[in-house]
Amino acid sequence: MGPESIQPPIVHFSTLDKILGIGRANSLWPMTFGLACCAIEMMATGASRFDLARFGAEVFRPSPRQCDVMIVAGTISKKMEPAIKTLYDQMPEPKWVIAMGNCAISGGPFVFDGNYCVIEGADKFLPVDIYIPGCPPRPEALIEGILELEEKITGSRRWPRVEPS
Amino acid sequence: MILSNVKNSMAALEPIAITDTDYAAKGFHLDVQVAPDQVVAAVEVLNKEAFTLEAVTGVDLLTIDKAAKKKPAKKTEEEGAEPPPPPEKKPEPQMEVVYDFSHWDTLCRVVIRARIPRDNPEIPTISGVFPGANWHERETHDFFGIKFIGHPDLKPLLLPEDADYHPLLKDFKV
Amino acid sequence: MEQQPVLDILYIAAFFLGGLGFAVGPFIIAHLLSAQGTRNIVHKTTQSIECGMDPIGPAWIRFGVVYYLYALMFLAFDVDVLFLFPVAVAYNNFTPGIRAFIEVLIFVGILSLAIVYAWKKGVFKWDRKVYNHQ
Repeated sequence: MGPESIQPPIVHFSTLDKILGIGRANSLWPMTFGLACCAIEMMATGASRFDLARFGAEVFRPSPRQCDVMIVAGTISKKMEPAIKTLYDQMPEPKWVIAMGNCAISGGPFVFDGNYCVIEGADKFLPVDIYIPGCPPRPEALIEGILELEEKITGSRRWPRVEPS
Repeated sequence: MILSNVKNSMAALEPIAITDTDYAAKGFHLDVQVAPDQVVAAVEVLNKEAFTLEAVTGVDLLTIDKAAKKKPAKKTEEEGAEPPPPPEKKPEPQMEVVYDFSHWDTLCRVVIRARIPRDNPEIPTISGVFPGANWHERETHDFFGIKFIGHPDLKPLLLPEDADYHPLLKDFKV
Repeated sequence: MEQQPVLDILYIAAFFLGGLGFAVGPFIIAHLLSAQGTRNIVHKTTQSIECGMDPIGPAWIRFGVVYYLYALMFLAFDVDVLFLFPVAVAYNNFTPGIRAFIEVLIFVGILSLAIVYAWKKGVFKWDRKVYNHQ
């Protein structure tokens, strides 16, 4: 069921890894994987008001060979599942997956006794790194998810976490 | 003009019923109830008048006896009456295939309905007249199990390719 | 000096190796520093991309023969340009420059008769041909 585990490179430099990590974190190229309503929020995040370009992530590539992160935004139906698996395979390392929205996290509102076509969560077959809850999550939530992913890659956050006062 | 043309041409086919409906109430101008083998001829009438196909869908009438009893009561209450149920009052449940058509230039919307037995739902395909009906009929087959005779490729459109269940039937259980 | 040719060759060899290093180096660096493979679920990494679906038909399809004609014309004039490079060196010595100019003009004119021939043959007309993709 799960994918293979990540294979380390032949030569490993820790400082170089840190530098490459900063580079990768600041230029995460997402794949246009909007399946449903969360795609609209993803598009809004890429537009001018909630600019995703400030974080280096405005370049949504349609081809999986050129992207780092797959933002699974929307409901995953059983018919779409083989396509997602193929596209995940075709992404080169290093790659990450963000599950955006309730449908991608756990099936969302489509989990009921008679469910016949929705896969209940992207993590049923993909290794998800970041979960962004919401139905749909606001663009600020998606930006927070990208920042969390950056923290996961580099180990430090770009902006401090905002605590509710 | 188009409406009267359509009505005249349809009347020539002798369908089960033609009903003028109130557009403000129902959303369409004409409701034509046909037998399953008259569907292609009725659709060709509309094709000659340059109508476009909007949708093909199915209705699962599992409890037709109740529906048949309700309809005459409703007719006296409101205008834009439901079309009368087909004359052969079989107690077996039926399915109805609904075709929606509209005309782009003048506002005219027509609905064609055909009732088929639920145990063996088969109806001739209209994809020879309207090639766009190809996918609509695939979807209707997917969700109701209605077989369209003469359809080039009746494989599932929205469900997985190996699905053998029909979810929108009223007695569907996973 | 006899050392001069050897020195020259050494210079050329050094630049050649440097160029080779710039060309081959990134491959070696990437091979050493990158992950050895990508994580797979259905092992379809090497499949051609068709947005997640299986590709229909091969990528080596037949395409129009008009492209071949353009390539042919390009090749002919590429050789023409190749011949024009030594002109700058060969025609350096004549004081009446107009004579050299007319000679080069005649040379180029004879070669451009090939364009006129191709033009008359309709190479530059892009006709829309209907192909049966069956």
